[in-house]
Amino acid sequence: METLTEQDRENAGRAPAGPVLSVKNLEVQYRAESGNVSAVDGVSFDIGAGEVFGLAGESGCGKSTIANAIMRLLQTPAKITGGSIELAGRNLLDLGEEELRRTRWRDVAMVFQSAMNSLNPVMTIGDQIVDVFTTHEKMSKQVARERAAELLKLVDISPDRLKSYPHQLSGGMRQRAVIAIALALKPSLLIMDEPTTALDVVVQQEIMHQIKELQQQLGFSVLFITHDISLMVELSHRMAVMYAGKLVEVAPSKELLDNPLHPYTNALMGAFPPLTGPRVELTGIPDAPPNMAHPPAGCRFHPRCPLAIDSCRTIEPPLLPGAENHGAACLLVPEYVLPHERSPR
Amino acid sequence: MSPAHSTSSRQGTATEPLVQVRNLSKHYQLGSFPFRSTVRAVNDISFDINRGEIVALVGESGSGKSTIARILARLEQPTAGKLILDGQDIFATERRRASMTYRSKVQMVFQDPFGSLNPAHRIEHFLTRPLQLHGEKDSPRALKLKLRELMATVGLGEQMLDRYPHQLSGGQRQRVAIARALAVEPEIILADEPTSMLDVSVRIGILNLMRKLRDERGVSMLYITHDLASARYIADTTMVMCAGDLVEGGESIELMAAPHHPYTQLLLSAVPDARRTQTVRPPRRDATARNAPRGTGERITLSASHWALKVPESAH
Repeated sequence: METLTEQDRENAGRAPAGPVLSVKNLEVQYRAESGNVSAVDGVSFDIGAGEVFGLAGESGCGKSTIANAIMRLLQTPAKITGGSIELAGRNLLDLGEEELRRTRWRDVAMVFQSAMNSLNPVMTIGDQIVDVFTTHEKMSKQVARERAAELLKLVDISPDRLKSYPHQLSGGMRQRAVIAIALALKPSLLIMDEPTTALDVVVQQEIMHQIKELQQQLGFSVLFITHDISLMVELSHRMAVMYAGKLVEVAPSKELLDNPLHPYTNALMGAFPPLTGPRVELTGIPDAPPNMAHPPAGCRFHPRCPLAIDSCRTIEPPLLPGAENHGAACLLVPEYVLPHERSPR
Repeated sequence: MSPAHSTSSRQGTATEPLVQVRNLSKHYQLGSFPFRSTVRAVNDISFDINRGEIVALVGESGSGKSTIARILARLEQPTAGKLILDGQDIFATERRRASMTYRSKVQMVFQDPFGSLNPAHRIEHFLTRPLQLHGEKDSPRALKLKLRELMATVGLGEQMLDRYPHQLSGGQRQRVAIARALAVEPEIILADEPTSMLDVSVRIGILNLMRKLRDERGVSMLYITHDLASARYIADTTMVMCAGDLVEGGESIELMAAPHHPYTQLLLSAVPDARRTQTVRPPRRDATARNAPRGTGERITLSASHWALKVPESAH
């Protein structure tokens, strides 16, 4: 197992043909007394080597559930009920506890929401990094300490800080330390779940630049989760928009920004007031996201959609790949053709 | 400019600003002898809020913006300075008697709609309470009518009155919090980050509601936020706060189109904006609130509705 992952990482740097992460028809349900809630419903996407893939959506749409499913961190009542998650060709859903323990951090690491509060308050930053090294690799404390110092330098923190406790660092520094720790074992995939939400804008921008630099330098892939599309466009190559447990649109970031196809993507982008131009009147999105225990029939966005037609109430359009890898799950997109109506090519 | 249907008696004249803050300071003493230190959370600040005006106070966390809200809400005593509401010097008058009238004029909407509504009560309770406390002796029928009207104003159905807070979404709860603030027909609402804990898709709805209340009822607002784009969206005037100082203020659109103070420029450049044409250099690491260049406290006038603190030459 050890040699295999070592090999994989070598390959990741040289951008092999296959995707680093391949999620296929993933289904996650939360079991409740009142019935099962489908939090993630048939989601598929690939992340290529060295690619930053963004996942945007409102809270409760299932984006964090996907992240936790990839890390195999879901706990009852959540259960993965279908699909596969392949990391460099291995289905993570088949792994046992011990294999998972080895895979986490080494192959795929995660920076959690409000991660800066996930550091242990009674251990120094240095000890926490050394801990990662000695747990996952055979390494002397001395060597681990040197590696820890290098790691901090990587995120522009002075190695003197190894002796600091988390409370002695600012929020931004803690966040950078957490990112450094996540990268300690050079994973091929880094999952970041709203890594900057708790931070001020100026610090947020610093962190975003840091992530971008590290990503270009080290070449790992990123699954970046946020509700802020503008923030995501600055970092990601390709992005997906999620609504009520389903992906509704996938496209290269710039393409999505310039030419959003799905009404929900449009609405989400229109929910942020602009910083330039004349004063405008925004409408936001009426009502609230659907109750996931009883999702509406047809397209799940239709009750809030300003463009909904009758067919939207009955037909649930799947996400189909379109031109230039730009796909949307909406009947109203001009080029959209339902699978059974497609003429064979 | 002044609302036609306002009920409270006014001491001030209609042309006078509703709120006048003069040389307000709040210092906190930390530690004990011999390690005592002083934190200047708010440093000699003066500004006005006109009747029917929405003023945004923006800045990073720790800049002192919430301290100002707390002082204006009389939850905190200032170290120095004056707060004049409707021509009355608030901290000079007797505390207890003044507080009742003060609260009928100044109401707050808090950041966390999950924490600011008692889960044991129905929505009806939150709106009835302020009406009773502020001496309204309505017949049950008149009360019911008033509640219905309040709910309609904030865009909620009458049937919500019987619900408990946990049965409402975050956006609906924040609407209830706004209805509660409106119940006593205040002259000004202090809103401290009212949308930051809400879902992106419902934020605009709350901002639109705040603007509608100003337009229709003439309620003034102090909108405290770290989100510059939303300040630009609803506020007539924006003030930028940095480490206890007001560094720049002016008409929102004008200020954000031509920020003068380096701190304002830094804040604006840090806002993620996918449509921004020029690439923005990441800010210098030392350019944080704490060591931002300090001026002499002298204001320069950039236009009739835009001023900034003078910055030492070297900082520009």
